Amino acid sequence: MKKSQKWMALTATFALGTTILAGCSTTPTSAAAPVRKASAPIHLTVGMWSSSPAEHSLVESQVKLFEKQNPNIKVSVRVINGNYLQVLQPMLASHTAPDIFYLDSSVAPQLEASGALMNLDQYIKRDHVNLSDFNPHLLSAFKWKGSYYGVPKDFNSLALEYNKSLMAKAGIKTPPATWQQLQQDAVKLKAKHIAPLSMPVDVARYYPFVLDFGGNYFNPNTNQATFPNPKNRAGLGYFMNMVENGSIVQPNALNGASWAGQAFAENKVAMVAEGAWLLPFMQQTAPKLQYGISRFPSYNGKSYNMLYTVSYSMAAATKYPAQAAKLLFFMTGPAAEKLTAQSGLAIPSRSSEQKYFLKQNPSYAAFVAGGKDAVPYQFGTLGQNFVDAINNATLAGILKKQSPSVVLSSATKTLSSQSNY
Amino acid sequence: MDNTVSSTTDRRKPGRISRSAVDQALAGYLFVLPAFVSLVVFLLGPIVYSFYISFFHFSFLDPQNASFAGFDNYLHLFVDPVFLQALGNTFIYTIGVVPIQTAVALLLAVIVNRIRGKTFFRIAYYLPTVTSTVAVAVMFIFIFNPNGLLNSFLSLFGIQGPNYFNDPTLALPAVMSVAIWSSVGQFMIFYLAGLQDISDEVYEAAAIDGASGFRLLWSITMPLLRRTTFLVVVMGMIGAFQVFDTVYVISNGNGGPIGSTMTVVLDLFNKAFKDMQMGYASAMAFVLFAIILIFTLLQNWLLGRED
Repeated sequence: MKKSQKWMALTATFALGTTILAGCSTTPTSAAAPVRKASAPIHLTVGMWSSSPAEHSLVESQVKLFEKQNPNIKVSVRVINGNYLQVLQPMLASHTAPDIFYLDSSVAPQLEASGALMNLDQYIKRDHVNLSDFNPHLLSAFKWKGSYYGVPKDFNSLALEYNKSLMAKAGIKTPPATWQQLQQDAVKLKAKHIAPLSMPVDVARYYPFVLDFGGNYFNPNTNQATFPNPKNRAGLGYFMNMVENGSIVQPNALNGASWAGQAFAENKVAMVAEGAWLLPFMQQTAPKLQYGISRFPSYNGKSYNMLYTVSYSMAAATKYPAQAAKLLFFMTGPAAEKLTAQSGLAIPSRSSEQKYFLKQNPSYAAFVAGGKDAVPYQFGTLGQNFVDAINNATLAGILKKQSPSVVLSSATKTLSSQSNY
Repeated sequence: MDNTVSSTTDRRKPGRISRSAVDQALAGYLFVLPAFVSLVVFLLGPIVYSFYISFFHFSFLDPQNASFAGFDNYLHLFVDPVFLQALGNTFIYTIGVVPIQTAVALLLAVIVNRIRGKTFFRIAYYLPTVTSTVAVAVMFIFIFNPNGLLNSFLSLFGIQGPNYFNDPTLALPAVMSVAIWSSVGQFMIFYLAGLQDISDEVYEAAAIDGASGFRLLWSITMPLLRRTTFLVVVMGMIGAFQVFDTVYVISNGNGGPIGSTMTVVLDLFNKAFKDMQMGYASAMAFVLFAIILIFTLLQNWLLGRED
């Protein structure tokens, strides 16, 4: 495993090295920029992962459009599948990373803090990028110490997906809008021996409970975990109680499903709370299953949600920052986002393109609406340590029937032992 | 006579031999060079560098700002609950896997050595070893699924089987059984080779003395296979301490449920490539190295001595 990755990184380094060298060899001096513009084209690379061949061809078509508008810049697309971050990391360290690349919001702060990413502020000003077209929560996911290090390209949020026939069996006509209603419906479903809602015990899914009850696990301003905050107990307790009373069933308890979507596709559960990634999966695995999508349930009028977003970010070591910025803003600009909206592969990050997207894909309405009151799924530079600490503590709490305050203090203890090493 | 002979050889020898010696040495070094360079670049270099950065707070993304940590990384390991749990799990795993796989491998070898259709069984038992561990792990996920093969079999007898990989007390034993299943074949081959070395005369002599059955196995076969056992135990132990791929696949890389399948190398991988704490991960690697070294020397002292 480790060895093969080392080799992957190495071959990647060589491959990139040669492309960069090819770009360099024809450039006489850096001062002669106007001459270079006319004679030799600049080569840029876009790094991405590809969830499907369709996503790869979408990016290729966006890149072609850019090349048409900028004949002196040639762009190649590099697909990194599998352990994206593990491949990207050594490339950033050896200054051979693609000029611009996909970056998930959950790991963005760690890269931003490390200095491996380019501060985009001056280029945003230079190219007059209209940031007001983006949801501010989306932008904040790529903001570090007041500067932007990425522009979101698309996003996802949670919604409630429900199996129509299983709901009808229990006599439920409309999907629950609040967690109280969901618990009432859960009683009816359990009476018919149907698992009500499948959700993993994962902070990436249950964090909205904590926020709805007025708590928070993390302070983005200080980059600190705030588990001991007494307001956290109510939300966490509510979620843990729902797991205990069987309203929420973990996916692996349903025929060993690897995630909630699998159990949903296998007709094993009435409801799931997943993002829009569920839709293509259902199309593929259970195209005949009748299901509806409604807003993620709320509590006491609060309807917090999780925001999963991916940006285009720029490597600090890029040779052509000005041109790379141009490409970055194009890939997150209206023309490219329109292509994204047309493809229906992802929810465009620009509000202006979302209307067009919804006209084409009306079933995504709940996800687009869910993005409004959402917080990005990221916990500063604490990253994976934070997620592991709280997830292990929560699961242990449920298995050992601990109180929420015990869970929170054990998460604090684990996290503090992991940080800064 | 003696003088002249020796003087002529003395005169000729240095010149001729030194020239050919240089040539030979040069040719030798040239032939060795590619292997030597790749060894230094891809093996020794990284090991030395890894040892060096294990004394730093080192992030891959920001190597310029690495700060010297002294023994901080090493000392912190012993108060890090995740690492300690990983170390504990790895020890339990090793103590469970190595003796069982050694015993089963010996048993299989003794049986396969006598049975008709030897080749077929050798291939059959060796196949799991050449199968990719990731594929094996995926296969066992199906077997240990709550409604999988094993529980369906148990339900024939009216037993409701547990959810193996999601139960913190059963996940590690389930992983151990995967490891035993997949590595027994390899060690059986080692034992078969060892058995072939024991001459029939020893058994005949023992038979004349009235030994038979289990007594032959206990007093003749096992003592004479001691060197093989040493090899099998050491190899098995090193493999067990470095377990990674099975737990990575089964727990989706997070060592769950609640850290029950977290092993040292999985923790190391997560620290290095998810948390980007490369210095700390390097320290972990050297502690693991030290542990393996100590146990190997210990076994060498116990099993490897000549009489």
